[in-house]
Amino acid sequence: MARRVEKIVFLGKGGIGKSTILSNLSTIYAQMGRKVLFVGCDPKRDGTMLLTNRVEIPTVVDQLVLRNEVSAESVLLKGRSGIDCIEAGGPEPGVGCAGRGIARMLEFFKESDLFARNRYDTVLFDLLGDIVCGGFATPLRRGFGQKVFIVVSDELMSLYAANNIARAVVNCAQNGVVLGGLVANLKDSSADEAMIGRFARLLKTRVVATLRRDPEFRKAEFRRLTIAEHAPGSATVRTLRRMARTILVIDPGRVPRPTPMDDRSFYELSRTGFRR
Amino acid sequence: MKRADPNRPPAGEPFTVMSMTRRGRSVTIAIAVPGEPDLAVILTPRDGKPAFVETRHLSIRYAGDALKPRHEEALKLVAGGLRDATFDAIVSKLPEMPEAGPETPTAGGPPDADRSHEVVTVDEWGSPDRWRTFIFRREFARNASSAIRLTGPRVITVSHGESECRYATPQIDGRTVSLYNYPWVRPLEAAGRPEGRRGGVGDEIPCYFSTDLRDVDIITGGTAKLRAVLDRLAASTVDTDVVVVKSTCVPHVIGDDMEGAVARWRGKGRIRYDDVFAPAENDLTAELFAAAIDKGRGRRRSRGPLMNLAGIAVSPALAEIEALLGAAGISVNCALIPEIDLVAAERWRDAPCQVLLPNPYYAPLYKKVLLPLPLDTLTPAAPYGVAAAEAWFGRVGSASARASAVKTVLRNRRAELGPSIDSLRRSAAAARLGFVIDDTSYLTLCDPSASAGIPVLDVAVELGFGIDFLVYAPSGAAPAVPPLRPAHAAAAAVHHFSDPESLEKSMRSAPCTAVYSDLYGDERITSAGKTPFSLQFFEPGLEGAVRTAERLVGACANTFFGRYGRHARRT
Repeated sequence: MARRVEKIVFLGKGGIGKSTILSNLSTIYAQMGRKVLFVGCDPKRDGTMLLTNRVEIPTVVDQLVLRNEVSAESVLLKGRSGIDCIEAGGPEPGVGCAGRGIARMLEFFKESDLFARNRYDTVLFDLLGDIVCGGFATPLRRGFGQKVFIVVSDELMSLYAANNIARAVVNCAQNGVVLGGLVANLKDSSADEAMIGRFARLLKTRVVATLRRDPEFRKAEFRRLTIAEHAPGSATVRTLRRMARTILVIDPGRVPRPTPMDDRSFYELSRTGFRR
Repeated sequence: MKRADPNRPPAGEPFTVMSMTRRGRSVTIAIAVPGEPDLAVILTPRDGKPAFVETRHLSIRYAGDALKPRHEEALKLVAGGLRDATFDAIVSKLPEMPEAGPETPTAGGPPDADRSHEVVTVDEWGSPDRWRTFIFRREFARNASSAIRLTGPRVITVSHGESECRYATPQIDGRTVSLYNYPWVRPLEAAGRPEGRRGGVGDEIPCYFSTDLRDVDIITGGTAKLRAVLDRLAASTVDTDVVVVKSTCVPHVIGDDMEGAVARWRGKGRIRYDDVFAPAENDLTAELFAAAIDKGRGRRRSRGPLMNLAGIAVSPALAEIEALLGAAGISVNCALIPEIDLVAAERWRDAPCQVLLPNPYYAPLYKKVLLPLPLDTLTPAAPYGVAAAEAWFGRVGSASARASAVKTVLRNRRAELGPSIDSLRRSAAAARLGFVIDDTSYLTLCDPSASAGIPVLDVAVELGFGIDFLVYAPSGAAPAVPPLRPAHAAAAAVHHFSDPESLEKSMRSAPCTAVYSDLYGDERITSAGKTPFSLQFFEPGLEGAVRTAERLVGACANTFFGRYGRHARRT
C-alpha cells in the first residue's frame, strides 16, 4: 500500500537555521528508508548545496532563462542518501520577482507530475525567511505543503516572524495546511526556553523539538555534511530523530488552527515574556 | 470621519473613508470596513423614497448585496455623524475630503476639471456587485492615459510590459481584441486605415515596440530587456525626435528600474520615460504636446475661419465633420486627441479658435495644454445624435461667423440623410435597448462626461428606441427605482432583479433585444439571448448618428444570440 505523502514545510526568520535543520531531517528520513524530495525555495540554495556537495546548483529559474522550459532531468539533483533535490532559484539580488520564481517552480511540479504516486513519500520545503509576499506563500496556498513548522529562537524578531507565519497558515488553512509546531533552535545556554513554550501555547501550538548549540554543527558544515552524517550518535542527532518521528505522527486533521496575535497584542505580551 | 488611508483600516476601527465622489445631487462615499468588502454609501438630499436610513436632511443608501453586520455598523455610524448635516454642507466640504471628485459638469460646460479618477469607489472586479456590474468606468479611467498617444513619423513608443496587457488596455493597432469596449477604440469602423488621418503613424518605420515580458522576465527582472531595446533604438538609423517609454503595471510590481534604463540616454535627449503612475504634474504627453504647440509660436496666424478640433478620434466621423465644416467654408487646421501628431501640433497656433469635445479622460490635457493658449475656446455639447450634432455645428458656425453657411449646409445634408434617419427611427420605434442599472449607474449613463462625452441614454431616446431598465433591488428590500429623467421615463419600462438568477430571468423576459455592457462579448447578455452593445456603437456627427442608429437597430434585429446564446453559457 502506498504511504501517505508527507509534505513538510519549514519557515522562520532568516538565518535561524531552517536549511540546516531541514537538510538533516531529509537525511534522517532517507536513512529511515523514505523516498525524499528536498525542495529549496530560497535563492541561496544552501540546503541542496549541503545535501549534494555541489556548488553549482542548476535551478528551475536557470533552466527557464537558458531554455525557456524545464525538464525534471535538468533540475533534479541526486543527493547523498538517495535524496532528490530541486531548487527554485531566483533572480540576481535587487531585480525581478523571486516569489514568482517559486510559484513557477510549483507550476512545473504540476506540469511534470513530480508528485506522482509512489515517486516520493516525503517532500520537504525549505522556504525563505518571512513570507513577504504571495509568491513565497504559494507552497502553502496551493496545497503543496501541509505540515508547517516554524524555527524560532528566543529573540523577539524571530518570534515576531513566527507570529506572522502563523497568520499565513491561518490564511492557507483552506488548503489543508496546519501549523505542526515550533522548533526551538537556541544559540546559547541562557536562552529562555520557557518563554518559547509560552509563546507556542499562545499560538495554540507546541514546541516539537528544542535544539541547542552544538559545535558538531560547525564541524559538519566545514566537512560539507549534515550532522546526521557527521555525528550520527550525537545528542543533537538523537533529538533530530525524535523530531522526525514526531512530525510523521502528527495527524493534520487533529491539529487546531493557530491563533496568531495582532501586532499590538504581540508587543504587549512580549514585554511580559508572553505571560498572559 | 477619519482621513483616508491607502491601507485597510486598523483593526478595531469600524471603517475608513476611501473616497468621496459627487454626481449631481448624489454623493458616493467609498468606505473600507475591516474584514469585509468595501461599501459604497450613497447620500442624497432626503427624498422620502426607500433608503437604509434617513437623517433630518439626507437619504442614505448603499450599493451592494445584503449588508454584513460590520457594514451595518459602519452605515449607522455614518448616519449618526451626518445626523444634522445638509447635503449642501457635505458638498461644500468635498475639497477637503480624501480623493474627493469634483462635481460632474453639465454637458457643454467647461472641461476644466481633472476627473480622471472619478467613480473610483469600489473595485469593479473585486466587488461583490460584479455580477450585476455592466458599466466599468473605473477601467476606462485607469486606461485613458494609454488612449491618448503621441504619433507622428518621428515618434516611437516603447511599451515595457507583457503583451497580454494589451487585451485589457486599449488596442494600439486596431486588431487586438480588448476585454473592455473602450469608447476610444473603433473596431466597428471600416477595416483598414481610417480616412482623415494626417501625418499619423509612419508607413515605413515601426513606431511601436514592446519588450514583451515573459514569465522568466518577471522572475529575473525586465530592466535588461528594456535596456536592450533602447540600446538598439539608440544605435539605429531611424530618425526620431522622441522615443517614449511607457510601462504596464507588472514592471512596477517587480521593481524594474525604468528610469535608470532611460537615464543612460538622457543626455541624448531623445528617449523619455512616461511614468503613468507618477503624479499628474509629471505628464510627459502634456509636456511634449505643449512643446510641439510652442514650436509654432510666432507663425502667422490665419484670420480666416480656421478651427482646431480636440477630442474627436481620427475616424470616418471626423472626416465627415471636417467635410461638412469645409463645405460651410470653415477649415479644420488640426484635429488632435486622442492621437497627438507632434508635427501637426506645431500648426495648432495657426488657428484662432479651438473646439474641445467634453470628455473627462481628455480634460487634464485640455487643462494643462490647450486652455492656457491664447485662442478662443469653444466647448459645445458633444455632437452625438442628430439634434446634438446640429447644435454643435451651429455653435461652431456662429463662432466662425459662418452661421448662415453652416445652416445651409446642414439643411442640405439633413435633407440627404432625412430618409435614412426617418427610416431608422421607424425601425428604432419597434426596437428596445436594455440597461442594467442602479441609482449610481443610471446617473453615469445620463451624464455624458462620465461616458467619454457620449450621452448614451439621450441618444438612444432621441433616435426613437424604447428602453428597458433592469433595476437592482436587494432581496427583501423595496425596489429602489432611481428617479428617471422625464424623457427616459416616457420611453422606458422598468424590471427588477435581486440576484444573478433573477437578473438572467429578467433579461431574458424583458422585451429589449440588445443590452448595454462595457465588457466585450458580455456572456451574461449573450447567454440570455440578447445582443450586447456599448459606447463603441456611438459616433459623433450627422452621418455618425445615422451609423449609430444603424448599429443599434442591427443589434436589436440580431437573432443570433436568441437562437444560439444559450450554448455560449459559461460552465
